[in-house]
Amino acid sequence: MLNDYLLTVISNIGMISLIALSAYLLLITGEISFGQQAYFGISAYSGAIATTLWGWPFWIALLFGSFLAAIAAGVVSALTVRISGLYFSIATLAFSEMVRLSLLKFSYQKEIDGELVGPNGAEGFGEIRWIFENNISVFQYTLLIYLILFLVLICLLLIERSGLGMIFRMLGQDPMLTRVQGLNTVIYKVIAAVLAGFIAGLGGMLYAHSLTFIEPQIFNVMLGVHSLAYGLIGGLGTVFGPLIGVALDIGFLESIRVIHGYRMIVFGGLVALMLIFMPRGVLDENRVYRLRLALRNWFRV
Amino acid sequence: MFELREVCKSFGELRALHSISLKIKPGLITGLIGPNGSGKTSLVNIMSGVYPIDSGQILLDGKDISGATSDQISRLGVFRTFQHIRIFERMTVIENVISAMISLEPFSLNELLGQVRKPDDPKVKVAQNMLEIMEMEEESTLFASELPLPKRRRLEIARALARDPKVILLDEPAGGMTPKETESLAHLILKHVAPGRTCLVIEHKMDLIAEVCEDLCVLHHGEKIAQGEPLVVFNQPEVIEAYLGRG
Repeated sequence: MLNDYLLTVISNIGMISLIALSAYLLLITGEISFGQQAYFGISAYSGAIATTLWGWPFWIALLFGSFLAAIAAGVVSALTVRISGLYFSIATLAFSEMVRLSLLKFSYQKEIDGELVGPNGAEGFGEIRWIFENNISVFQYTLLIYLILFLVLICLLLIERSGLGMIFRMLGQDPMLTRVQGLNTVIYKVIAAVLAGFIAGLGGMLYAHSLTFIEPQIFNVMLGVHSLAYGLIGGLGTVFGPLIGVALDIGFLESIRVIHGYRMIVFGGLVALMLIFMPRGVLDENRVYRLRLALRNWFRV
Repeated sequence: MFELREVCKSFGELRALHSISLKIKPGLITGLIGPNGSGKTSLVNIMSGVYPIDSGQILLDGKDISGATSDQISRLGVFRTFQHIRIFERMTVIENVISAMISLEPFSLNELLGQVRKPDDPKVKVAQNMLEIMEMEEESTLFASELPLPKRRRLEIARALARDPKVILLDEPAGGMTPKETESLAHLILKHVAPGRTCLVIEHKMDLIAEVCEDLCVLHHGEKIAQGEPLVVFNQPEVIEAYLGRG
């Protein structure tokens, strides 16, 4: 019933959801980042190097890649903390292109079983064979992806209900007013960026091991643009918003063969329509709040 | 006590504040008036750390806070409202009040990661209390963007009060209100905002100033031209001239 194609689509939704959540986290703090694909890529490369070339265990490599991504995100954020809006977007775009172009030049190969393995510039990085070596089926790997996505969602939901989550939303609405409430906005901006970098990193490392072959071209700006659009379509009022966006794009537009060739036209048109009629997505803050109230009343009755 | 010593602030060529020395008497309501463009809002902006000053000194309880940023000044117990209302529109009314209390312990993980909307949380209790004081308890679960203007102004005051500040700076709290709304606001200020606090009120509505202020300061072209008892200050020739021109 669950054939491999369907499973690939489902696992893609899970992995891309992670980068969409990463872009979402910055969107709610009021920053539009065109560079989340850089952290996705950094973790994909470093995580895959750790498992294939250094023989590290999967979990350690996952954390290693994601931490590197988080550190990179923290550094970029600390450097861009004085700029916002359009300038922030341009700076993140520039950084992500720097990463992609560096990966095009990056070569680090080792001989394993008589074969040269490792990233080799534009030729990419193949033979990421952890799944095969450990006899993990596509189904099992999909479960693993969704386990991690589930953990990330739980963390984000807890943050959403905490003071930190409230500070993120305050920053997204009025940074100056947030400051006047006694909050050092610089620290919270960096925290948001580090968390977002880490989440994108989780997605990237999983992605590399799922595809078994990665190349710098995967981490181009279109990935970042998509991850922004997912939140803007699904809604910025809840962490489930971006997931709806991903499911709609990958689960529906990309998988249904009839409209396959027109995917980008439909998707682009959808983004344009949403920005006009529902600028903060289907599940925006107001609708999420009403929904929550309605649910609470419903459960009480 | 809040004290300014020869404070200057310019924006490019424009001299907004010129060598202002001002003592705001502790525990009293001080009014700040002046014609449009006289520097009233600039004064509040430098007192709350939103703008840095060019020269001079700002003292709070004798401590020099001239270089402090707005978040540091808030944590020292100085809260303000805005002439052009600033509220978090995509949050509920009660969340807006809670927003002022999150930094009570700035770097405690407990504080940051603990839930902020639990009904039995002390912050929620304080916020409800503040909204009651401002006669807004019925609106507490509305989205802030749904509030009419007078309620928005009251929400700003409730938010500033939530931290129980030592000093509160109200920038045109009655702006855009009808005489009746202004009257009830004056009553609220006297009953709930002023007791035990140092207040600075900027206003154009002289009846509000006359009703609540115990001390009055007049700005004109970025300079202080008078300070003292409201009724005395109103009758000073410099003040009449600033408002009405030379006869």
